[in-house]
Amino acid sequence: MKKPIILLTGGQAYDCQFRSRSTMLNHTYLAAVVAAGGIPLLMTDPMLAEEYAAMADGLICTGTQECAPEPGLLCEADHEWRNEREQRMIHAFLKAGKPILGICLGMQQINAALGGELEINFRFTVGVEHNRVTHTVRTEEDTLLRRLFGETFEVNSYHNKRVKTLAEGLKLAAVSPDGVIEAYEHTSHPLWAFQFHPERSRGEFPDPPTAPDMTPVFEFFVDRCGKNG
Amino acid sequence: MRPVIITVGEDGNTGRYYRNSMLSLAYSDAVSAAGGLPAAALDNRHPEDYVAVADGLLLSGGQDLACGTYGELRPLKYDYPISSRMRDTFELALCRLFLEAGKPILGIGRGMQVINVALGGKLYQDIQMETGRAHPDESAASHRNDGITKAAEFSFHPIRTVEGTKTAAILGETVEVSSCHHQAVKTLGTGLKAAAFAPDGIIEAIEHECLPVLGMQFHPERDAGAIKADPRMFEAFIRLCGEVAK
Repeated sequence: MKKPIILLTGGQAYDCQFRSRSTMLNHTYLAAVVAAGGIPLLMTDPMLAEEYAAMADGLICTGTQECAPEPGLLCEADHEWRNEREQRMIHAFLKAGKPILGICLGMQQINAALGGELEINFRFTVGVEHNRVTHTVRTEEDTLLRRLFGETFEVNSYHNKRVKTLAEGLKLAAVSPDGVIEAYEHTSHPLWAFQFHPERSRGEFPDPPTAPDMTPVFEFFVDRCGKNG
Repeated sequence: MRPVIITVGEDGNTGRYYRNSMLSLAYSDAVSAAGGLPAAALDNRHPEDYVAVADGLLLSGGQDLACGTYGELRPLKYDYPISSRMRDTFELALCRLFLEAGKPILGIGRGMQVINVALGGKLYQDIQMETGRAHPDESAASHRNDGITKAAEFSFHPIRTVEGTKTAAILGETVEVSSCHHQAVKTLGTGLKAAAFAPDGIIEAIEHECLPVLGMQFHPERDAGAIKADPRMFEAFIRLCGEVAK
């Protein structure tokens, strides 16, 4: 069988050597896709979203990347830059009927693309911290996460925004004990999204150490991408 | 369908939690404007997978190749590593696989040096140290990329293309280019010929005698000073990719 091509979105970066705009991606995503038998490619031009959707077998909307490639040199994140590329890619893959996986920021972007609401800095409104903490999630019946990891399991957490209301067509897949939406699926499109980082929770040293090895998430997704065409 | 053009990114900052790679959008924009579909190949474990899915390989600029890749035992200039073993081995592997498959390759700056090294050629580790002169000759001022990740500065000089080469057909007889390097092709790899020279004799472009392979030491992907980005090499490369894919 041909290996599925998995396209990934990247974050904004700045090339200090040539002083030019760049895009970057953590290798955790690449390793997870490769381990699951996919060929990872980073998209670079959002204006060609439809061409990417025709060429690739699936899309992973990734989490936020750091913006400065050199310690000490900071540049401000351009959220519009990231939003535009995520939104274009999501709509193109939805239209093409190809599988999508959303992780962290990617989960929020997909919800926004479908018309759902996000809430920024919810630690100040609801009073719960979800950045650099770990917690459990409770999965819903008849979801991918329930099948793979059971009713409850431990996850990492690195976010300041949350999904406030789910967009039409999405169904809740997991929730944290303090009420944050931690995963959703699409009712008809092959689409799964997680607020935690399954790509950082793999192998013998998952983050957090008490989490399950989430490699099966990527095996499921890559396999599904291969069955689409 | 646009031809799929892959580029290897460079190592990003290693001081954060996770290893990452990045790619300057100047390359992506140039490929895109010339009619290609740009994507970054960042995982080095299965280069053969990328050859199967891509129509062309763009080798971009960046850090020095480690001198061991072209058979030099001792680094001349730096006594600490400034190169990326991961990127070196991945790009050399991709380059050899694309050569074997007869798929087009475009090398820019470091990328041209990768093509040369993949075919057994050698590099000057440092033009000034090995030839006793700065490049370009006419200005001894600090205008070069010194190979370390601090902001690189471009200098400018004309090049003269070699009659009868693809490069001459694309660029004409002479063209003013931007220059940002301290290494250069010293001896040509098997099957390669010089396609352009700087006034001081440095090889500025190479091409393969029979395969669709173009390399240039200058940087047509971006504006630098008064020199504007030059789409012609990219357009020729994408055309080649389209032809070979058929």
